Amino acid sequence: MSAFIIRRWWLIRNRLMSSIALAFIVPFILSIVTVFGTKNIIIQSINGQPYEVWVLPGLMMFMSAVLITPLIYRDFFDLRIHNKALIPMTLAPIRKSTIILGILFSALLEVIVIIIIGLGIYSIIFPQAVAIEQVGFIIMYSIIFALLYGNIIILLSLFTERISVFMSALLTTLISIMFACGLFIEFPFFPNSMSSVFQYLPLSMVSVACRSILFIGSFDTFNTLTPLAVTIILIVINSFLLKRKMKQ
Amino acid sequence: MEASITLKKVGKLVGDKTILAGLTFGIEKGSIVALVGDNDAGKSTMLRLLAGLENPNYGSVFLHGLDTDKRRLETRQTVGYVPHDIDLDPWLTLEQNIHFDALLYGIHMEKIQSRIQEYSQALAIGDFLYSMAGRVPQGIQKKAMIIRALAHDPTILIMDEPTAFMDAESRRLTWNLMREFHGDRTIVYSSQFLPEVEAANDRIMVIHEGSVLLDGSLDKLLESTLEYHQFAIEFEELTDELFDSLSGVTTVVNPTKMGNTFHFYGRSRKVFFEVLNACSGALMKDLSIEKLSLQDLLDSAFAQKGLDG
Repeated sequence: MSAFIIRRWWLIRNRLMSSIALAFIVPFILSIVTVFGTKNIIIQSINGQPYEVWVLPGLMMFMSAVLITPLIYRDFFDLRIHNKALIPMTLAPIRKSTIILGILFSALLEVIVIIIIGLGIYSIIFPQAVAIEQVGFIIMYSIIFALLYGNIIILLSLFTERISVFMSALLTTLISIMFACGLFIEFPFFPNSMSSVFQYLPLSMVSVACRSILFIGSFDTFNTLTPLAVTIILIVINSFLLKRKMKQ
Repeated sequence: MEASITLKKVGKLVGDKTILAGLTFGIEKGSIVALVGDNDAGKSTMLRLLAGLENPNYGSVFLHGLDTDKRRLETRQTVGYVPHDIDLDPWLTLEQNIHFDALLYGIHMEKIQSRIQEYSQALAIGDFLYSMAGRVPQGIQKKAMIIRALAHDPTILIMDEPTAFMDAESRRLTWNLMREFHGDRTIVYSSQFLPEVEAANDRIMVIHEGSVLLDGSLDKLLESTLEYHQFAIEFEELTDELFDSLSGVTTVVNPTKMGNTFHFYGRSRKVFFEVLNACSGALMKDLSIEKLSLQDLLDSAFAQKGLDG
């Protein structure tokens, strides 16, 4: 695992200026384009929270998804289809699950740093929206969200062989989670039949569980543990798929 | 001698096509073995199987007596693999690429550094070690890939065209390093660069359509051809009638016509005089006589049928 973390640090260091720029620009742009307009349409949540307060966990989760996507894409799609660094990794005497976890966790570290910067930027834009005692929960659930979403992107990367197919699938996934996982719009805004499906999507469960502890003060065991269980299942599936894709 | 690599009835299929057909052979510890053959003969597939990058459809590969399928993690520790194509991470430096790979094998930082220094000096890439992989010439990247394969100190080194993309000096340095390993590490490599193969090997395996066609030392392989010579006679005009007449000489082997030049093989120089007699006074412009080389042996007609075939 330490090898993957060192590698991630080298990758950041080798593109330091763009990494720093990205760490500030992405949270800033996502904060203003998603919240400023929407908060004039949805002024407050159904429970009476101001929209900019209610949306914060969803925004951070979406940010984690946006940030982890290129890191996963590069390692599991780009390098794989171009027969680059992934091949020697799979030849090393380590399990495929170690490769999946190593790349995922090292990417997650980069994402966590940017999420923290993002929370800082958001607290400057909307000072009343970020309560310091809630930051830990927001980061924790953003990590769970990124782990689950990262595994979905790994699955997508390993399944597809063409960039056009991958990009279409990726955009569809991103737009779907943006609207259907309760990140920016509450489930009751959808027709009943749809919302009852959406709220049981594993990614939706993360945002539900996070808001439950932030705004109701109750730890939602089912909606916290189910996404973690799905993540573990996906890691097993991805490890198997990586083995098959590498013909090993 | 102890076998380092053993293949037992190893076969590889891609769809309906047989890439490797029931190969059974052993490779002695510390030997240097060259795989040669046409494109698509199955050399790269065989190397990938030996490296553990692919699994055979049937049969077993053993490294130091361990089944690569059942003892995967242990056997991988013993192998260093250099693929034909450049596979370094272009966003990492050469040193970082090598370092990361060695870390995956659980090698300590100090050992990694000392090996990188030692081998980069031997292969003269010290000036490029801290350059991004994607920005250095491919020949340098290939040398870094060799160092990467050596960084975890493998006992078996599998290399697919190890000197591809390299200039003459780099090829010389690479083979100097490989010769230092002779006796300690088992080296199996493929190459299309036959002078390189003739210069450095213990054993040559000629692969053709997934099977081992010829197997032995260079001297042994050329043994059957030692008394043969390759002749080329350039005429003022080589007509079809003249070609037929010369080809009809019973001691002429594998005659071919290229422009006005008549190529053939003969068991002794005496054949040349028999051809001269058959020329009927046709005007000759040039003449060459050469001993046979590995290239001639690999000529598909020879390799498949033999000179006497």
